[in-house]
Amino acid sequence: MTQALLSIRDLTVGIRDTTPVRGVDLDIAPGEIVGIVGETGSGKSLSALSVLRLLNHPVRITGGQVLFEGTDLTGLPERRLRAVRGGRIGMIFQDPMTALNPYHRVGDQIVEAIREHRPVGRAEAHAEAVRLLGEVGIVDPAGRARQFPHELSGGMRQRAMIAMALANRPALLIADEPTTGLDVTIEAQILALVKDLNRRHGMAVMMITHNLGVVAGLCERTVVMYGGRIVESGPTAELFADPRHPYTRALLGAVPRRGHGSRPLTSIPGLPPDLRAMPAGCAFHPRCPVAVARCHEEDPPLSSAGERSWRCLRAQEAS
Amino acid sequence: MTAVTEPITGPITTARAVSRHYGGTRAVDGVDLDVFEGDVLGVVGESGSGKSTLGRVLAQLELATAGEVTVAGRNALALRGRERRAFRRHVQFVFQDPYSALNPRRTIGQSLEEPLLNHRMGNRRERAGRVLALMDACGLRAELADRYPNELSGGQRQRVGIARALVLRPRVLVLDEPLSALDVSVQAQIVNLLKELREEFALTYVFITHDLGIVEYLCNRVAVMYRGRIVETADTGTAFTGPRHPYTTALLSAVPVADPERERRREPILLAGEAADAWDGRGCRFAARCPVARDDCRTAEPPVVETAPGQLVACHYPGSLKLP
Repeated sequence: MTQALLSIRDLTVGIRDTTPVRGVDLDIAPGEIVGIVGETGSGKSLSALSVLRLLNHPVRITGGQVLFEGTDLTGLPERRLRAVRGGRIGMIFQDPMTALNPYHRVGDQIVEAIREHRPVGRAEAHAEAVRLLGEVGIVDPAGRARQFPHELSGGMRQRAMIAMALANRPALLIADEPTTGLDVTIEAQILALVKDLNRRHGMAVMMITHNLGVVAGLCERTVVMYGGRIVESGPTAELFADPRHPYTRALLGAVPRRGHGSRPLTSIPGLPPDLRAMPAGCAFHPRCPVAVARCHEEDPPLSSAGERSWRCLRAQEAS
Repeated sequence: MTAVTEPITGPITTARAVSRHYGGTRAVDGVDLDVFEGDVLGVVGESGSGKSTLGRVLAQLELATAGEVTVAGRNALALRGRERRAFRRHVQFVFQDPYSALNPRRTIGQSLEEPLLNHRMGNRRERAGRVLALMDACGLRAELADRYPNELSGGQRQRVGIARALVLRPRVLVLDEPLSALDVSVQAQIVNLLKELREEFALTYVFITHDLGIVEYLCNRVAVMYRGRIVETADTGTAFTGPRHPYTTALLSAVPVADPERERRREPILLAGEAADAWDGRGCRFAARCPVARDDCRTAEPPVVETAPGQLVACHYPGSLKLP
């Protein structure tokens, strides 16, 4: 891999006396699209929010580093971090109202985003804002720029937020479930847009999703999280074809796929782990079909082969 | 505690020219639909397509503002009083978020018994037996009967929602996005449960969802809705391999599949605009976004044509947009 754009090292996030993210290591190369999948409580969203330190009390980073273009963002003064947020790193969320201010016109918000990072005049920034709204597929961008967020449909708000996140041509886009809750025809438009920006501008993408279809179509590399840990990662095609971790295997079997026929779906017994009672050893062991006594006690170390890695003592038996 | 079991000929439930308007909003606007005994009918569509409203009208949670809903051959809307209540039993509803449908101050056992009390069915012992039998069938341990909804996981609550819908021995379940609040691994549990229950209780399902993967897996028929109308109805296999309405085609092409090989070859048909965009009330509702619309599509309402046995398509030019 070339020099990483983003390099997360042993990241730990705490909420009071619980640890929802427990030692995450992740590299993203310039121009790479990486998918992070996992269920509720896997720590995927918290890991993403940690990059820009968007955690609110009592959630906080308790250990590790987030190196972006060589600088550790975890130790950066707030003032300098603001230059990165919305500058070199853009972020989009499931709910666009997380990023949009309901009391300001959409165009003005993008103008602000531009002028916060670049020394351009208001008129020039406005022209750029309209151009961006057009680029993300909004019809009549000049007219929409004058409207307030509530005057736009859900799909359009999502695009407006994306336009804002892209305003300063970020090197990295962090997307936290950006199409969850959107209709599939709108989702297809948004994903095509992200792909296009990646291709044309070499923008790297960290895509957090629970949708394995989105990952399969968009991401070169896939990272699977469970119980606050990365349990498996690898090139998407290989990981889908030959999952090493029993959790990845079960997750892939739980989604109906073409040609699957009417065989029962793999249902994973039980529930994702409770943060307040994280199982000892491997967090997946209570739900794992191939767990043995060792899995209850030993924290599985990272195994790797080529570009693939996994944390499981029983990876051989799982396949 | 017996259900109506007289054999019926024809569909178990139908909608005929059913509309449900809220003021000027035409949530459902002239829908015809036949559901046959044993069907698992998927109703798909985007938000605002009217699929949930149609489900609520079929389950008689809401009244149609026009048209007729029949159950076992009788016009459900014409019934009154006790007869109507007795009839409503046959079509039961499962909510997306069972939490909102359960009284937080009642135990699971009480919530499950409630429909039986409302319908004055059985004595106390019979009711308790029925509740426990259904909990067992739905994979709920008996001790959960004394718990409250907030003590249950999302998956368990959905099991309770399903058990509650089954207490009155209905013939049809209308399920409104029953999986969308659940994690993938838990979704699979509920899907497998629904398949078992259908066999065990000879049920018919109307399954409202936006997840086409689940439709392909679970449903033998599918109805595709767009802006209050059903634009295509067909056997699932027919619809998924040879859709005839351009909207169905675009929708199918847009779904990402959890298979990188297939994804590399998939070329989504990207539609302009959104379903909620303005419409002047004339012609086909999809015309403004349709890649193959012609002039008359914008002025004349499309007829419903049967393009193949059992495949009904509301389009002037069915089949003119092919899957890539």
